[in-house]
Amino acid sequence: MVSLTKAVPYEKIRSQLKKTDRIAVITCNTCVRFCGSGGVEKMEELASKLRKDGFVVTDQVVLTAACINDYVMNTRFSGGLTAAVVLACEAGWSSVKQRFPDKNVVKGTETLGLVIADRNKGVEKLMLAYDAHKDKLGNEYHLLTGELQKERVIDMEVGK
Amino acid sequence: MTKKVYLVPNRCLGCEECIEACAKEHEWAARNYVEWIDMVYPVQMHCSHCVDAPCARVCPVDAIKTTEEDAIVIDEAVCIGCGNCALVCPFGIPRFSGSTKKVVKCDLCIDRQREGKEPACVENCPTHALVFIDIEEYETPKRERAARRILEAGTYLREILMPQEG
Amino acid sequence: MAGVSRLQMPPNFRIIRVMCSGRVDPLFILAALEDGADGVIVAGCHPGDCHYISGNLKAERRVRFLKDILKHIGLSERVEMEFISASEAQKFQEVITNFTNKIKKLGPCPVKRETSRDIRISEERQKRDYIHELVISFAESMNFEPEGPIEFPEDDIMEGYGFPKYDADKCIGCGACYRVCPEQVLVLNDVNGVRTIGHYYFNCRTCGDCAEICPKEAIEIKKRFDLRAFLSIEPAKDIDLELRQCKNCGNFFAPELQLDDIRTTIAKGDKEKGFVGVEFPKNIFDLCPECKRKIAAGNVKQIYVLSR
Repeated sequence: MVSLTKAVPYEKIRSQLKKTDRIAVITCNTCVRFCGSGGVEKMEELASKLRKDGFVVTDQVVLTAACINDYVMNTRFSGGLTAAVVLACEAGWSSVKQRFPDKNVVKGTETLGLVIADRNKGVEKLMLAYDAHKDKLGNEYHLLTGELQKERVIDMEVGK
Repeated sequence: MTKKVYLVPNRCLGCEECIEACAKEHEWAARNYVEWIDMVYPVQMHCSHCVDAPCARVCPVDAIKTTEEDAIVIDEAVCIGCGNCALVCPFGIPRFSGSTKKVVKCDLCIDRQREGKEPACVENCPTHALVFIDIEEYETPKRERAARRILEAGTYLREILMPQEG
Repeated sequence: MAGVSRLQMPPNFRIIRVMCSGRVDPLFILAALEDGADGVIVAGCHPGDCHYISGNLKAERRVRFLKDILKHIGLSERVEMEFISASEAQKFQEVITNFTNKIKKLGPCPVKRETSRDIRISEERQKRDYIHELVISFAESMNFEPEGPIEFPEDDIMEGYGFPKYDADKCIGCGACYRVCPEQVLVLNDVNGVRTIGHYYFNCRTCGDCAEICPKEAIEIKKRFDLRAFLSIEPAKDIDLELRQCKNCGNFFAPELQLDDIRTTIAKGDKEKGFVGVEFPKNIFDLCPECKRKIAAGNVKQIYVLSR
């Protein structure tokens, strides 16, 4: 919807977690779902993989949007949590970090910038990019999978 | 295969686009609601199109019928505005229309359906929180996910609590 | 004819020709009395001779109705109806002369006004509204205040004056009558847990829509005219019904009788439609529809708040 995120590779997430951790996997069901880097399905996949590798995943949470602080603050988690993997944009991640300031909160995605989505054409276009991703300005990605589209179909100038 | 409109709550932002879309489709009298629980959790509500609809039972003039799309629809021409249906509905969905003084409720946009389109609220939901599918289609992925979790929980417990010999 | 026969006619009367005496509306007569006429006489063909079949009979009934009203106010002598055929020149002269003399003795009409009242018939203000306005105005000018109800005999009541009569044993208070009435005759007020249905007297035109729509057939249109109610601006009260209070928000949301009726309908079932009767639990109507909706939505909160 609003933010463009890319999934962090599984190995990188895994390397930040310990086998003794009690982990919550948290995701949003809006922006990251449209980018293919989060949402219910991706969350289940990640939790599943972690469990197969011997990690202890006690909580799987789907929020409408992690950037809505009320939701993050009011959700009930299991006791004894020591880590969380957040499949959300940077704002969502910092929201969860506020909830668990002294725990290991792992970023499950990397935020590239802000997009305009065209649901009819099924793509979203990067309109505002963070410094590290300025080279991707104007790129178009497929909604729901996040695949880079070679052909650009949204007729809009960036920066106008 | 009956298609109805279902809400996926954790996709709902409470933007109320669905209400505006419904109003536009129905002479500026929306038939759905967004209830805010504790002021922060939005829940969209509309007619459940019950199979054994109490509203159809209590209508004194038989204005409420089931269509071939399995939608429960109030015939505006026949309705006398007595309010029986509004009072008996367990979800409090039918309401009095200010302009006609008769009772209106969600009709699953059967006019649109007959043109091959989806109900107005579904088409306009920005996050796909409203989906127009058969209940089986909605439930199957949830069931599979739940099953997988039960399986995994079992595996996990077996390995940690009952380590394999050898 | 009277002119051709060179009969002497009093100079101070004005003839207004209409195709049939049935065209004469009580509004014309009332407006005339206010506008400078000291007396009005309606002359129609003899019964049985009407070119339009029964226009003269209608006129006769309307004048009788008007005279009944004006009699109480004190102006009845100034309005008359006579049956005179076109060839009865002699009778015409006699009637007019007698009437003019009578009016002379009575003197100028006490409700005469300096300036004409502006009467424009429109959607919002119809003839009946003006008739009502004029009668009230006359009653005020003549200081007429009824002490009790003044009921007219049915034969004296003009067409279109009546009211809906409610059968208290059948009415469930649903308000369909109130919603369907095209003239806003009916009033429905919910005050302190009681619903009162009543009606304004003067604008019911006995169309019968309310009687037709009532799901319990509790309404009968009756021909009736009570001058006191007609002159009062308060609506007449017809029926009182107890309302049920929502246990959650405290609003009074529906008449008890209507809820009982719903319960009975569900319990009875319907063989033809294949509904098996169902007994609702006692507390099923404890909540108003709004609260039911909010509570149903509240159950979804779990999805937002619980993890796992």
